Amino acid sequence: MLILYCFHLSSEKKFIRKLFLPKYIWILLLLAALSSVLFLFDILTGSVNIPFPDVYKAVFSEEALKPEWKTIITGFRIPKAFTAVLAGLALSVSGLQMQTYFRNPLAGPYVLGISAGASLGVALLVMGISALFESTLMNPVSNWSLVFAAWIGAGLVLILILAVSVRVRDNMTILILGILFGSITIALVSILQYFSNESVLRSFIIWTLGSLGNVTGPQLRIMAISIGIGIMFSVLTIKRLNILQLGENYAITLGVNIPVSRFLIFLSTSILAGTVTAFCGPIGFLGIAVPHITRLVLRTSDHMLLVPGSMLIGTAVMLFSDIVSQLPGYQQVLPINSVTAIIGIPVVIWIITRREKIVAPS
Amino acid sequence: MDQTDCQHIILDDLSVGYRRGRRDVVYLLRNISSSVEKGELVAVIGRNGTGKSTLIRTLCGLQESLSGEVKLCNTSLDALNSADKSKIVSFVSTDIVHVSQMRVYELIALGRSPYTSWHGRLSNEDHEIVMQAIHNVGLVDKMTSFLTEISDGERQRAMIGRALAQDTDIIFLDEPTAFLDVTNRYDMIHLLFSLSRSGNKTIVFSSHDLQIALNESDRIWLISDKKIIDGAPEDLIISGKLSTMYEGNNIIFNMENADVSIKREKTANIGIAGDQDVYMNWTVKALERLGFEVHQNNLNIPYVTINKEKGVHWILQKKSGSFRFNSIYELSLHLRNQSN
Repeated sequence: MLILYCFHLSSEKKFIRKLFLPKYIWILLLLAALSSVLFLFDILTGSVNIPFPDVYKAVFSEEALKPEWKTIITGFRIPKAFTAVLAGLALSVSGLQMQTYFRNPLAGPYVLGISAGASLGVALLVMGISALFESTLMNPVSNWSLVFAAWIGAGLVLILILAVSVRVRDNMTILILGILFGSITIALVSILQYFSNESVLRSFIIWTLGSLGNVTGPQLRIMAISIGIGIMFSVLTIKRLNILQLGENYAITLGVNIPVSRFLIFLSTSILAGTVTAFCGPIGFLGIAVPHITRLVLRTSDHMLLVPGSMLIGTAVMLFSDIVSQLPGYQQVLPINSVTAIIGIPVVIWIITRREKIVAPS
Repeated sequence: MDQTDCQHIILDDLSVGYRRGRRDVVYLLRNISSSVEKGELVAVIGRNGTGKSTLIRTLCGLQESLSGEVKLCNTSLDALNSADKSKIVSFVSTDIVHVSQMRVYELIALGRSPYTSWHGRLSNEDHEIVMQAIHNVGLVDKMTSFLTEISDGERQRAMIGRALAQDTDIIFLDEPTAFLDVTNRYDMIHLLFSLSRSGNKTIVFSSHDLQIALNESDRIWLISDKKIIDGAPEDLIISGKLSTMYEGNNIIFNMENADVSIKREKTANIGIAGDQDVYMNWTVKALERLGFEVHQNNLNIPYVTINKEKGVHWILQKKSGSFRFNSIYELSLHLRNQSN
């Protein structure tokens, strides 16, 4: 698919494109190679040390080896690596869309309050229900109900924002409203936390730390399909995003339908960020950091290149974070959210100190 | 749509302004009617807050009119959808656009977006139009530079290049010369002038730069008292309409050369003698700035003569004697110290 895409790009004949395009294609191919290597490494590393030939056998042959190794590889590590790929690319594309739409370098999937909405959904399920029925029967809550609760929470916040955005012209106002919705949601979650008992609180806290390891089999399939749909919508926004970089006035006079664009962008962002949050918990900073890294690596403002670039770099960063979180050689596993924060925050600090301008003073 | 008539703009009983809340309507311009002919360069001038930008925004459909209508291509602006509009009208604003990692070529190429399909890729023909636009705004050697690397003047030219690539018959510009230095301002307006001539584009721009607007535009829309006063620049000067723009202020509009100066109180008299030449003109100007009423060839009061033998020098003749100065600055320093 990537090759087809590169072919599509290079089919343009004019010299100006020829000047830059081969470079872009090489960078994208290099990033794809990097992601593949990291994917392999991610499968190879873990608390149980499994040599490479056995990993190969576990995947491609029926040959007998230690049955628990086969379970670890095909039942745990491979789904986890795929989850990392999906989460990485989805959060990065969603961050890229938010930064371009709001023309704000610090925007990310969090700004619209989508992750906060998902948290509220999960909190209501885990803590609200258990408090209501005074029982511990809901504990442990099944993964499926967690996912649906998160989805519904994210969806409700999205519907609220879409409803407001029809009335509000200014995208800065929407950004502020998103932050406010997020804050209210977090406040509600805190109240719920205050009233819940220890064991329930613990399972919620574990969810908020984020995990790539709980997505298996049918869940992974649903996650992949949802993110596929989200990416499809985001591809439809590429041209609009390119024009929106100039600000809404120029976009309107260049024939862009702002409400439709806003709907498409918010919809795809919510599907992408909402799905990842639902399945993996809130994973921070990746969505802010990766688009900046991508712009810097590719040195372009063309979303036809930035979208696939962000997907590849997001994948690589997420796989790398996962490898780090497993602390190769140790039995412990770090929460993925902490690792992405440790990797992402320096980038955010660097953005702030460098005051990179992707915004027009208007 | 009749393409042949698309360069013609009609304002029909148009009122522009904005709404504050449901009831409160602020009118900036009320019931104005005018039209712009094909290929004209029109300057909208007026003081701050009179509604220049609001008028421009209304004309290109960024803002709704309060009443009346704007007609392009014999069709009401409201009846055109944004995709149709973007092929007839392009817009350049005051905002300086900062986009990281965007090259001049990419910016100007965005002008083609009304014509490209959903993915926004340019055809070879599109690329040729973009190159032509880059050529017309004189940015050929900057086209691979990033927007963050070029000057404000070049960036504004690039924005105009983008409007040219959009290939519309009508271009609206809101304060295209704001943020530019004098040379760049003249270049900019001259560029608009030549585009309206050679490219046969209808161009309407707002400006508070009176001098430049008067020199280059075919027509002025002077905003005054919620109406527009319409005419060739020269008409407005002769009829004294332009000077009304400065009424009630400490500013004098000189009808001879359309120059603007500050009204001063004359506190003393001084005479001047010499040939009518550039030295004389500027000496008079300096004396007026110092608050003197200058009388030509009146030698009964203190007076200044300009002597051009053996280098130019100025001689001030007073009762107490005569003083010699090598520059207008020395003369004015002496006069200022004396008056203190």
